[in-house]
Parts: sequence; structure tokens; C-alpha cells
Amino acid sequence: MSGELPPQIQNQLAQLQQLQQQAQAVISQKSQIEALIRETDAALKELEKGSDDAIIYKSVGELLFKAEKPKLVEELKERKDMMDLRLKTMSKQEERIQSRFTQLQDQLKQSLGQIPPKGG
Amino acid sequence: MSSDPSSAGGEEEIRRLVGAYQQYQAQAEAIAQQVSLTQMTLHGLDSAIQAVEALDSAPEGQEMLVPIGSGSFVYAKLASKERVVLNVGAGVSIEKPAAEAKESLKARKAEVAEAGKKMGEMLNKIDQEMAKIQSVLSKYDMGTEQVV
Repeated sequence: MSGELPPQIQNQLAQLQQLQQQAQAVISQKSQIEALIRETDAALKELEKGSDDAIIYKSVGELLFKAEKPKLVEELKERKDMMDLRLKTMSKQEERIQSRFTQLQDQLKQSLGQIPPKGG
Repeated sequence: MSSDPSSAGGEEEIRRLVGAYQQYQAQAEAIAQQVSLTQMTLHGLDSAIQAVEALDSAPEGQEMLVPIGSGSFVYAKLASKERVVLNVGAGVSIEKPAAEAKESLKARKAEVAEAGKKMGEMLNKIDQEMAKIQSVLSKYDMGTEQVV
């Protein structure tokens, strides 16, 4: 079908597809970060349930290293802040892609409207 | 599609239905993947619960084999049957009394099972929607055959 379309429209269609792929990649990264944030929150909640001298381990590769609760809590909070920041950046990126997508979609509609009808 | 609908509206409708069908198919595949991950998690939780329960009847110093991956084991002796180290996510593990650990694992299993059940229900709904679309599309096919 695309063989019958003018090159300008083919180009716009290709750009739209590219934007769609970019949006999908951003959405998938966002959901991964959201899952990590949820996991970190759950771990922090579990840590807060126990006393300060509870026996806690932190995994480093396949090994478990004994850790101090206050230090580990601090570390997890910092990690969570960083992930929150990354999530905000990804959301802005998603908005930018979405707005470019809408803009391009409108342009494509206009271009398609200018094609003379078949056999006319 | 073998249909060659007579009207432009019909063609547009078929395109819309095929698009919706493909979207449902992609959703169903993603959910099915999650369901199989859920089943693996449930299996892991069952193994952990079984192991913690087995501690009850094992004496301290019990000889055992500890898995180190790829079906390989090292020899070990049970140092404590009262304490279990439980992974709570985000690379954190907490030592808990065996009974408490067992309860935590059971609670986690219930949560995962519930999530799996919801995913199964979603899959059923998607299957139903896909069947509806298929039936509409097959009517288009039949209509075309009659015209031809």
C-alpha cells in the first residue's frame, strides 16, 4: 500500500512508526523503574518493622553481606530518590514524544487530505 | 484477510477490527508471560515454605546438601533451625524466626496467587473479546463469499 503513497507521506509514516517505537521503549523503561520503586518501598517497610539491631544482609552478586540497618535504610532511600528522579525524566520524555506524535499525526492527516482521489 | 468488502466503510471497519484484534493478541501474550512468571514465583515460594517446615523436624547439625546452582551441591550442617534469612526485595535480606518467616512466605504466596488469579481473569476477558472480533470478521468473510 505504501508504494502508492507520495514520498512525503511515506516519510511521515516512517517517522510516526519510529516515534511509536520510542514511546513503547520509554513506557517499558518507566514500568521497570516503577516496579523497582515499589520493591524498594516494600523492602524499606519490612526494614522499618524490625529493631535497629535486627540482623540484616545485603546482596552483592551471589553473596550476602551483613549490613547495619540505619546505613542500609539510608542507602535504599537514596536509591529510591534517584529512581524517582529518573522516573520524572522518563515521564517528561514520554510527554515530548506524545506531543511530537500528535503533531505529526495532524500533519499526516493534512497531507492525506491533499491526495487527489483515485481515478479522479 | 480474504474478504474484499464492497463498501469503503466495510473496509475501514475490518481494518479497525484487525487492529483491535492484534492489540488484544499482544496484551494476551504479555499477560501470559506474566502468568508463567507468577507460576514460577509460586513454585519457588512453595519450595521455601516446604524447606522452612522441614526445619521443624530436623535436628541442629543435620547433614544436608546446599544447592550452588546448575544442579550442584556442597555439603553443609544445619547451624540453626530457629532462624531463617528472608529476601525482602531490593537486595535486602532479613533474619527472622522460622515461624515468622513461614508466615511471611505464606502471605507472599497468597498475594502472588491473587495476582495470578486476576491475570487469569484478564486473559479470559481478552480471549472473549478476541472471539467476538473473530466472529464479526468471519461474518464479513461469509458476506463476501456470497457476493462473489
